[in-house]
Amino acid sequence: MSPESHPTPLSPVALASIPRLQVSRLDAAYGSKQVIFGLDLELQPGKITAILGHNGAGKTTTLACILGLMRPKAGRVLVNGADVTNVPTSRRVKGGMAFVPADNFVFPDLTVTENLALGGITAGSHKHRLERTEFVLERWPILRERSNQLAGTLSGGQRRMLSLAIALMSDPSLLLLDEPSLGLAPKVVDDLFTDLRRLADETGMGILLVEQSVAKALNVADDVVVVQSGAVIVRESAEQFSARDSWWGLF
Amino acid sequence: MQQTQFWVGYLDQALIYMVFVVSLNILVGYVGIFSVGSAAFGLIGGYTFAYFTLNMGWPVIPLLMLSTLVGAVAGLVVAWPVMRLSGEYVMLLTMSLSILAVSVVAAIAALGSQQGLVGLPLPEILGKTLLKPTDFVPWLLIVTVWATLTCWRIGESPYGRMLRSIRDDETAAASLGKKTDRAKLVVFAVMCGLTALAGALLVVFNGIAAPSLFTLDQTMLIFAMVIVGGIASIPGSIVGTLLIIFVEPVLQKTLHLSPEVAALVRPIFFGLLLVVVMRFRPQGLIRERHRHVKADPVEVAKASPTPVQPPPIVGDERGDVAIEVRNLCKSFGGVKAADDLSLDIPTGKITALVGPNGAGKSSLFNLVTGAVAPDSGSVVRHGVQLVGLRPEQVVRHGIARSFQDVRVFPNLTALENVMLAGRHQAGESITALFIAPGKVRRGDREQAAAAQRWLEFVGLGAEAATLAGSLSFAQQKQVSFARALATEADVLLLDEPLSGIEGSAADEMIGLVERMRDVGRTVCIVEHSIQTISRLAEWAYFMELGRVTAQGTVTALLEDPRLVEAYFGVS
Amino acid sequence: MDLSILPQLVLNGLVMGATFAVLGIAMALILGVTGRFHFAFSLTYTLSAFIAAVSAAEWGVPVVGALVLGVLVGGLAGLLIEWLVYKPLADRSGQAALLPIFVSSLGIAIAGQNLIQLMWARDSVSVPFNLIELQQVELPMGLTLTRLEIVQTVVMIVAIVAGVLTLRYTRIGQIVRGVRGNPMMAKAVGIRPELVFIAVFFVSSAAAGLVAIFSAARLSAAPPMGQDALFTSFVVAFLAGTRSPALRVALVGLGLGVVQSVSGLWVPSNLTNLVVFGLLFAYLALRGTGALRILGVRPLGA
Repeated sequence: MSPESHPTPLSPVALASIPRLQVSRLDAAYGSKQVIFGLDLELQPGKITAILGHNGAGKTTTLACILGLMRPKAGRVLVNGADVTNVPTSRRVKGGMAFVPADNFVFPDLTVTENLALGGITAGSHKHRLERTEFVLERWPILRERSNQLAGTLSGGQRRMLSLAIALMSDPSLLLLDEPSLGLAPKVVDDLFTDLRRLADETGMGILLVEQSVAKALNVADDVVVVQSGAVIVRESAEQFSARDSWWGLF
Repeated sequence: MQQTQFWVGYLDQALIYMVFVVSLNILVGYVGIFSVGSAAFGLIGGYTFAYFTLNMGWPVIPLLMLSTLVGAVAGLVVAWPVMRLSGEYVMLLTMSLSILAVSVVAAIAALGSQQGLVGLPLPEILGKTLLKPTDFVPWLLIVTVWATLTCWRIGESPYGRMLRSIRDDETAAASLGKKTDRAKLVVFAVMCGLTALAGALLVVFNGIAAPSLFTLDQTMLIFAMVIVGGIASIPGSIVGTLLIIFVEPVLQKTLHLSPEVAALVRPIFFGLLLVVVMRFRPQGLIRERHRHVKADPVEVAKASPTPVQPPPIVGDERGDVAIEVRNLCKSFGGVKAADDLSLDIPTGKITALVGPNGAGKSSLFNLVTGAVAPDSGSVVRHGVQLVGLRPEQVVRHGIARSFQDVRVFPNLTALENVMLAGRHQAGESITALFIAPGKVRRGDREQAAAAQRWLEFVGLGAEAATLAGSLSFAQQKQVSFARALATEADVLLLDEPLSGIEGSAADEMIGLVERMRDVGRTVCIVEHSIQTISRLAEWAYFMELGRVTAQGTVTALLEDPRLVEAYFGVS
Repeated sequence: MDLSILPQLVLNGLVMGATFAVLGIAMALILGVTGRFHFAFSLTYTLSAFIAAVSAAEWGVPVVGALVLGVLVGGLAGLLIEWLVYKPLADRSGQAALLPIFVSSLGIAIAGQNLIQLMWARDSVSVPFNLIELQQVELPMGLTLTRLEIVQTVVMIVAIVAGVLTLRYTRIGQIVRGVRGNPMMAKAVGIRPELVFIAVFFVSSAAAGLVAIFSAARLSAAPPMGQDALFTSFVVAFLAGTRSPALRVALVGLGLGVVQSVSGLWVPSNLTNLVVFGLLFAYLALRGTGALRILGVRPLGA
């Protein structure tokens, strides 16, 4: 797998073989306190990987480095083969990355339509934006019903749907989600994860999710990475992880 | 002689401004209250002096004392809103106060309106009339030196150490039992008194009390002297004052600028200096530097061989239950941090709180220690209701806590961090500071010895003199435990004691927690690592969404399939 | 108390309030979107007035051109302050930069005001700006306004309407409101908040400059003129809420203008602007004592 950036456009076949995301030897620190130690990660197109671990293990910090919200001390981040380690967040988003935060994941003072419009800021032409809007409203008709409602007044589940819709407006090839099931009813979480599976299968999107609920994550993920105190301690397929006797020692 | 008087006149000004500046530095630098109200309090002092001179003819020195007192009282009145606001709001509030004070005074006829109170008689001290700038020098020198030494004593003493801990982390200071509100109030009032004194001196020197002497520009000038000279550095304040005051005459003489022009160039100079300093040297010209306490080995050896015995409980027998939590409820917005929560923390044992994230474990610590007030419910210890008490009061009932993010005071040494936790310190009373310095010094030595003992107990004796900010995370945790132990609280609430600690350091930490229990403390820990808990805890409560859903020995809990579901989710 | 002058006072209050509205919207945007305590607002305000006055009086620029020049220079000054002073401090210290930014802002304000005085107001206290004659115009109901006041009010209303409509209906308005409401999400969708900050500083400073120039047309440009405008803008922004819709901020500004004007019935006229300071002081003091929570007012940044 070639880690160098490719400035020329790639053929679909070539695109399909480059990992959506590669993180290699990531070190991160807050001031003098190091919190991530040599973390490696690889995400293939069409695959869903779940990052698991206890609170404070470094999952959110890892996401922050991938997104560009935080500068790593060492290591590299590659999106679709391009080295983005020192590239600002806005360019990474233009390069096909999208992110749904753990909380505060909509623009509360803006309507649903305006939220989607902002999601599509990087979408290019007006026509392309309209297509994407149709695409997400098709998937989540309830958002069409409430297009003029302020996002802050939607229910928790509806806001989650909106947050996913916002992320999809830019037609991303890599989707990062931070604790998507937090505070949601089980049925809503199931629907959400079904949507994620479909997106990965149908569009070849790579999905990385940080998840609290281990069981739910195992339902949708292909692979699992367990982080403890800033380092990866387990890396296996979801099947293998489910088959373990006990998870207690890992958290 | 014209020349001498010219330069000495500026020296007099510098001496007066030094009083403004050192008192402001204590507020801004040592306590962290960004007050921009020097003009307002100077005005109060200055007008008090002028009014009583003109209408009562009282002599200079008693009037100076009166002005100081009036300023201190005014400070007490303003202190209350100031204490609760954060940084920028304090600046805005005190700034608008400055403007209001000047405008109000300028509108009162009895105070001379725009012209102010003019025609003050020439000041007379001990029979000598003060007329030329050189006449003022010795008296101003006495007052300024006195004011500077007073501020020095306040700032560089055990009291000053406590102030700096409030500045760096007020929550942590309160969690050690420090009366943070009272300290801020007292210091604010005292410094306003000194500012008023400086205002009175300004009036004495200028012979009038006019609104133009106390404008916002003057306040900004004083503020600039503090910042440029160096925050929390008294020598810095002296240098900053001299620098900014003498820019004006230097510009006049070297560049042959007229006085009017020089008066305009000075604020341009210090305004730009503020920007440059903030960008390139925010600590100011002279960095903050404090003498750090060293424990005397002789004292340490003399200290009780087993300082770790828990103090005798007065009154109630040491019952089986250290803390009784009943029906505690607390919601934040829609989230229930505590939902009819009830549990008992047994005396003398290690109890663990486990559960998934968001279960409310750390919230419980906040509710018990008074950092957060519950919506309803009770927390009882030895028959005393703790709900409604502030954190510093809860500590005195024998409950101390450590924080998940540690919160040591980075600018104090490990020893000083632990010393702060000691109860009943003479050095925490501002009056004792001046009236009983010997007692303060003795008390400090005893505190240092006891603190050294605690550091050795947690295994950090060798790092006593290291600044806490330079220690590793694990070492900072050890300091925070020594601190909690030094409060002599019976009950220790440890929030994630092992998070961020690996390998052999983790084993040592576990051993330390066991040692704490072994010397009779009651320990309650929140910990996510089940392995750690199974080694340490004798009893565990499983919490979910703000309530206790299971309790028992850790082994029993781990075998409960329902708990696996609760912790890892249902598929 | 002569109540027959009340209608005129209210009208005067509305005229003044329109300028308060523009100032309030400008400051609310800066506070709400960037979070900077921009004390140097007073400097860009004063600079606009002086550039207009001096360019018309000494550089021979035609009056309308001077107005445009003043507005642009004020906007540019605001932009440069954010770009060259505030941003480097924020990049270095993140949240802990609030105080250094405020202190730097104070430094710029002091240095700038005195520099202006040194350059243009040394011999005379102020510089006049003759935009429109101060001729009285008779209105129905026995009310009067000067020609200048009428033109000023029209311009202010246009500015307010432009601001409200832009924020509500244009894409740039959505982007600004997005950054204001959720800066993290804004980054997540690919917006660059730094560029939005710079744009907000330009527009807000330019708008404030417009107010300043009309003030100079009424009363001449004087170095301390920015101070009152600064505190007024803070009062309006705080009372209305910095995350509130622009229309609400405008209404609060109008209300404040009327309150200040009508208070002239009880308070000597040279003290009415103390009403503003008094309100700010009371707001901050109440906020400090937590009484605001009881009254149900959501404090700034809460």
